[in-house]
Amino acid sequence: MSAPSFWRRHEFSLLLAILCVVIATAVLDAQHNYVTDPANSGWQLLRQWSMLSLFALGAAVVIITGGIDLSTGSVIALSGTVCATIMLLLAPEALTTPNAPMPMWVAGTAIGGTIFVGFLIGSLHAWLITVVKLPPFVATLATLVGLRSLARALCESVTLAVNGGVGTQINVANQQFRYLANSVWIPAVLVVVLSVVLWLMLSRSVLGRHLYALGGNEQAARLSGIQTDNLKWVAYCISAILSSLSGILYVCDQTVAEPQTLGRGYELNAIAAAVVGGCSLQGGVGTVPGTLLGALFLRVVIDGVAKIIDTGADVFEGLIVGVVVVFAVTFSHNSATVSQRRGLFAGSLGGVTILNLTILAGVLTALLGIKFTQDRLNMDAVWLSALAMLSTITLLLIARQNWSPTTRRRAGIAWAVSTIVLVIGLDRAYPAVQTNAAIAAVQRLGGRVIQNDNGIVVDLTDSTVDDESFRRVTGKLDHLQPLGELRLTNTAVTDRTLRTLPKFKTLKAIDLHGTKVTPGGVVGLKRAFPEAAVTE
Amino acid sequence: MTEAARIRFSGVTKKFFAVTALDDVSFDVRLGELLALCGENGAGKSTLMKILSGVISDYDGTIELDGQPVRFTGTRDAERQGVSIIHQELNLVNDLTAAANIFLGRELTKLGIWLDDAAMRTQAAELFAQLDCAIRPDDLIRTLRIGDQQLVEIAKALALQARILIMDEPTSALTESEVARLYRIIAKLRERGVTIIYISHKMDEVFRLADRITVLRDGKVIQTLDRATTSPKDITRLMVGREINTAGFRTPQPAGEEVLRVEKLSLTWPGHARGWRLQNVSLSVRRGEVLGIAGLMGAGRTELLECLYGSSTDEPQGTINLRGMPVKFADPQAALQAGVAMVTEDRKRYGVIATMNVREHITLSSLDQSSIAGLIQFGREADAGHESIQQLRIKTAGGEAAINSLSGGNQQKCLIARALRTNPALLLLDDPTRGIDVGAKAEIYRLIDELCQQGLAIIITSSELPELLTVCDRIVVLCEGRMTGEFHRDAFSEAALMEAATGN
Repeated sequence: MSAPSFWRRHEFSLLLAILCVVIATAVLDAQHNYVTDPANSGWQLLRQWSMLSLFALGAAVVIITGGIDLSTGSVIALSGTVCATIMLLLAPEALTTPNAPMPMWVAGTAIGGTIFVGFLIGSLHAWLITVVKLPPFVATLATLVGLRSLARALCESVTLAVNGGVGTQINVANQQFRYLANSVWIPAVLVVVLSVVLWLMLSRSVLGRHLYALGGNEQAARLSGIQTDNLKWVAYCISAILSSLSGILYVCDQTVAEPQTLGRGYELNAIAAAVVGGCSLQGGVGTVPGTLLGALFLRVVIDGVAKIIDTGADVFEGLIVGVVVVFAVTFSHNSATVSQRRGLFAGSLGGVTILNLTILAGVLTALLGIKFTQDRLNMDAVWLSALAMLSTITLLLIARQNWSPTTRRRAGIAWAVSTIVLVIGLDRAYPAVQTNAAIAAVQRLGGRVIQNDNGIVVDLTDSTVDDESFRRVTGKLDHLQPLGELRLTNTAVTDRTLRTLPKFKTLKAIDLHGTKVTPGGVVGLKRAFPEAAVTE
Repeated sequence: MTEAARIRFSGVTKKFFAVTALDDVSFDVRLGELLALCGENGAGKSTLMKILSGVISDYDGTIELDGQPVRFTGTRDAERQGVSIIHQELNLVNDLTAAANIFLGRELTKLGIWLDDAAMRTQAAELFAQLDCAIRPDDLIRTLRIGDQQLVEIAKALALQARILIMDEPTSALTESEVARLYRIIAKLRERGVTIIYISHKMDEVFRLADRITVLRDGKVIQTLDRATTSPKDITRLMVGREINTAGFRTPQPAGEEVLRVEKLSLTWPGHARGWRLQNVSLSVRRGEVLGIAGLMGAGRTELLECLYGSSTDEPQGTINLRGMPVKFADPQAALQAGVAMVTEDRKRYGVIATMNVREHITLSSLDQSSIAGLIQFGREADAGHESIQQLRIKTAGGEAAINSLSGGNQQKCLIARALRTNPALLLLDDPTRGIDVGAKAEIYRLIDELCQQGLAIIITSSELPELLTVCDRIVVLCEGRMTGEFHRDAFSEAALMEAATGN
């Protein structure tokens, strides 16, 4: 743990990364929430960050001792359920009516009891690991699976006993209790206080030094006169109790204890935050500030993507966490090994990886890219994604070549320049290409495209067009701007075609002479285009 | 030079960032000879052999095999051209059988899919027969003794049709009888025309085996000498660049009061044919005395020290009296509190914590002395670290230097400092000079003497008899867990000790 200067520390690079993400979000977000409404965005972020940090710190302590705690999510679920159960048993009426007073002693018992449950779970882990000698992975995997099940069973029997019917959740509607989580400052202050305590413990106390020694080399620590088994007990209890505290806060926040979904998958977010924050899964390395920043970084990235793409952000949360973990760990822990190893994309595995990343780039651009760029590009998602795949595969193929660093750098620059030129060029060319495609499509049907005072005229008079073939060209007609006149004289189109027309809002004249449209259809069309001249 | 050069190194240079590991190394290895490569730790022997065996492929200069320039891209490539290496730390998969290890990575198959176990077993059995050893192809590696495991490596090299065999300190973990067997096998290999490069610290075996001796120092070839025209003293001098006087490290002094008395100490060994690791061991140590524990591998040296330090896997029987009081240590912490400290044999596995720096290593066992109410006082801790660095003359860039930036000898001193900072009355040193170079060894001997004069009682074990003869006042010999002899300084003789250690 020789301490490098602050500027070269992991924490500093994380801080920089966080700043970059925040600035990028502020700029790219269409509503510019970070600029227009900093207080609200800040509070939101602070709340989510404190909730994540709370149990991420527990995961970090265990990881520093060289162990792993996979049970976090289930401990949160069980703790939340236990907390709600105690309140339901002691003061059922206070729980269901929002404005009823919650007796202090009930809330106190619920919180105290839940923390005690955390202590018991931590002790169980310690016993399984130090006495039964299970690997930490197995011991906490067992409780990950088991405790959620226990929470559901508990919830069902308690609701049956008190409410007279089996329920899969316990509602916590009491306003007084919910104040705990609704006010931002309670979780935040809790995290700050606990962080300071943990930071003092890890970096300043004998106990902390011993925890690092345990993680660095367990045998050596034991032979140096350190009680390694007791230390593990402490570490797993810290982790479980912090999870219990977050369980209570989540129940307050969500107004319901639902053991089936509460905290599901959070153990991995916790481990991810710790690892991004610089903890090594080999043990012996990690800090409290690093973990806090790791959690903040995760939250900022998730929040940023949510703000920029505007919808369905929670769908992408897992993807973001995954990508962030891979990049953060690659660039911080083993940047040396990556650069030394020759060729990230060599061999057959490298070939498949190129395919993998190309497809991923294409899919992600199609899903996200169009939302990022919004109205700034003319291109549609298909073009953009094809372009992304092309440029990705070119870059990776360049990386695969066994060239000298200079050639490699030149190829990289050439790639960057040509990609930018290609994107701008194609984006400029896109409208013209699409217009030509639309004209060609009209001509294939036997029609023509001309221009008059109304704008562009699509003249399909006497052509072979029918409902089906017209439907196929409507997408292309979008690109003929402004579409002023549509002539369908003496063709086989019916009312079905008329229903697709209202999206061409610029139409000034529609000629339906000699078609199979009904008077009813024409009335509807006239209603959609009150200004336009519709000829029957 | 009349004889053909099998291997020719010309201008081989290897730099690790700023550190030059090999500097313009040029010499020949002749066809069919045994060339011993000598040098202190860090002299560049291992780096050179890693280059020859293809582990390192990025270096300057050229290597010629039979006059053809070669540049191996990996160990596989080297093996294909007949160069095999047997590393000091053996490269075997513990949970596979001997036969499976021999053919690991190039298994014999039927139809290219199914393992042909029968063929591999037969071929492995043939190889073991050639080596005159009783290993069965189906034995799991973890059930074999170190010496036998090494033979599996040699068999692997034979299976690869190795024409050049590199052996890196092959005898460091062997018993006398295993060493004798290894010598016979080396003779056999030489009859088959295998050229051998033999790395060793031990002068007696170098002079017994080698045709020529090449001395490396600080990454440079100092000299290549014929065995017949040189002496161990010359080689040692060339290795360290100065004379090393191995005698006179011990200042005799009157022994003080008794610190430790062990009576009838026994330690069971469940599931083993012998049934015990230690049986009825009785000994005592006084203030200012160095007691040596001699014995071959598996004699119970380490186990004895573990019993005294409370770190043995099973609870020992018998009585341990520390300063007249019977004690029973549940764990090392209890031992340290009672005034017994230990430095372990396997520095890498049981001593060093790679993520910590020098200061943290030194103060780890005695943090209570530099803390108030459980909070470490950094100033006091730094002073403690600094004091130990001065006292033990630890060569380091400072207390904040990473432990892995230190040489093996200086890492060992840090661990000794850690033990000493607990103010012990009795210090247990388990093979403290294992894997450290000649100069550092002398420093450790001097340190042991100083500590004794300050009134510490020391128990030391070693796999090298001459070392015990140099530093001890008294030596107890163990053989298969039993005490088979006790010698005072005036009765020391290598022959007598060896006789006791082999149970004659």
